[in-house]
Amino acid sequence: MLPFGYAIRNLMRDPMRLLQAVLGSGLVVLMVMIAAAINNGMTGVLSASGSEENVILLGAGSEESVLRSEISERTAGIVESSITGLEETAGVRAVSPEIHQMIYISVNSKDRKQAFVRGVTPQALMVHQEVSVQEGRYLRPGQVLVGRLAWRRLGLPEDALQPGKEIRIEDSTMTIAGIFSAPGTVMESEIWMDINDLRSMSQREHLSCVVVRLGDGEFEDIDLFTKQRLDLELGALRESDYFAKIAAFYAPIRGMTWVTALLIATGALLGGLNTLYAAFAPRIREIATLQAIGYGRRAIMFSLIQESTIAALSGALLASFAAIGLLDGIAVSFSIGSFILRVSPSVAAAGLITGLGLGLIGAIPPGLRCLLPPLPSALRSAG
Amino acid sequence: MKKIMGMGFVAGVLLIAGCGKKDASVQVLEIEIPDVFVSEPIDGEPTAIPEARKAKAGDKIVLSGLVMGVHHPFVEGRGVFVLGDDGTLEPCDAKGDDHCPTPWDACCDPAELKQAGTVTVQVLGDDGKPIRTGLKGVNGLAELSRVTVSGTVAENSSPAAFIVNAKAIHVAER
Repeated sequence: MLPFGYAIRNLMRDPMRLLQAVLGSGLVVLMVMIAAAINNGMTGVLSASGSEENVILLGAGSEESVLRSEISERTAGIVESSITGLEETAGVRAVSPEIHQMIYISVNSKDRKQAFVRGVTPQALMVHQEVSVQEGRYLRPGQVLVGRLAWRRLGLPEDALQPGKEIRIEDSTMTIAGIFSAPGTVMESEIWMDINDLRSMSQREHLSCVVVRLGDGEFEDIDLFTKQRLDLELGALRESDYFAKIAAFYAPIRGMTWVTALLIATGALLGGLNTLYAAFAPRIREIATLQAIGYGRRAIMFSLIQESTIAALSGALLASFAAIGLLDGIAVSFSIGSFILRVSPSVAAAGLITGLGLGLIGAIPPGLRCLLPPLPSALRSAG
Repeated sequence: MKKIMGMGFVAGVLLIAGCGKKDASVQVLEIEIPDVFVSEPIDGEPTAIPEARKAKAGDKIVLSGLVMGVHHPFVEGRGVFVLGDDGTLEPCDAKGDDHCPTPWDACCDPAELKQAGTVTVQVLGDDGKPIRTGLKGVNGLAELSRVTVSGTVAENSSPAAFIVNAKAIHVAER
């Protein structure tokens, strides 16, 4: 085996070339980490948004989107009095009638932004138990509660949606009563308001859905209710299944992030390979000399792999610091909400594995180019 | 409710055979088939569903139609299905050149027709509630199966939400 110091000394021969190799592999690793963070973030927020205990009752035929759903106003009352096995607190059943609507809002009379607004009653807090008021207090008629990431979704400065400030929704001025959090869910990008305010504002006569939380009952009991009350024209979906469908809908977009990352990474990878070819090619005669004095081809290849792995892992380290500094904690918006990018252990592992793979595999083609020529001709080569 | 005492066992054989695993386990699911399923055609002239909706709770009734009218006509784990009147509703595949993957939901028919032309059929257990067994697949019952049901109008039925407690169900061979 060649001493480890030989690989280190060779790396330091040309600092500019080393920098190229480190930056090239760093870029590849960063791209992979970004793609992994986006995928994890989007999948995470969609899966966390749907509770196994919640069932959404929405219009038959509108199971794909609550926004398209319309159900009768009387449904909530009928559900509350007809279905047993729902969660109950102090005699109040966890039945939340809701209106979901995309609606234009404006802050300080500036640009109109389209926001996801949910009209709710206080029972919404019994159903969506992950929601808690972080600042200010719960809403009253004439007021709104904003999710802690709503500013990001609307492309506003963070201080634009603070308790006490006013926003215009359609033609009405509403006061922000508080900010709520619902960790890891799409609700954090929403604006909540009193269901009656939204109903009169949007001139709707129907609810979008009724969300119930199961106690000792089962989903089948809710589904059974929808079949026994065909007149209400309802469909029942577990909230987790609803968001699983949305996650499946976004699968091609997540795939596109991988494809984009892959294309950029391929360019960087080819650049990195080129750098390694350029680094190894002038050393054909030196490598032949090492063979002539008794070092085997495997030992020399191992040393070349050590060189490229050290460079690639240095790049991976650099990319990891860049990801933590630039990526971690950034809110990314997509059509139904926002999510926070996190450099989680799985994202870090994806970067590390990529860096290791680049180092281990990247040295093989240029290494073989140096090692395969016959020894006599290699010794006479110009390199 | 009586059950077929010989116990209709439907052998739901699940082969959980992982690739390369030597000891593949075999699980046999035991499902009780309610004795309301009959092999002989049911006597009596069926009443058209829109007409039958006028019947009162407790009235005896015979209905015929197709399993259709909603996207999911069966309830998983409960003895309930939705029967649609094929004189009122038309499954999408009957319209020709229609490639609807769920033709039984009669999605081309207006909501009013669907409401008038559908009925909830339930098989009750001894506790008076729908049995905790799904009916899909039992005796070949599936979406768009032609079914004749004999039973009584349920206590909780109304002209708007018409429910029949089945005493006999005959599934015609396709």
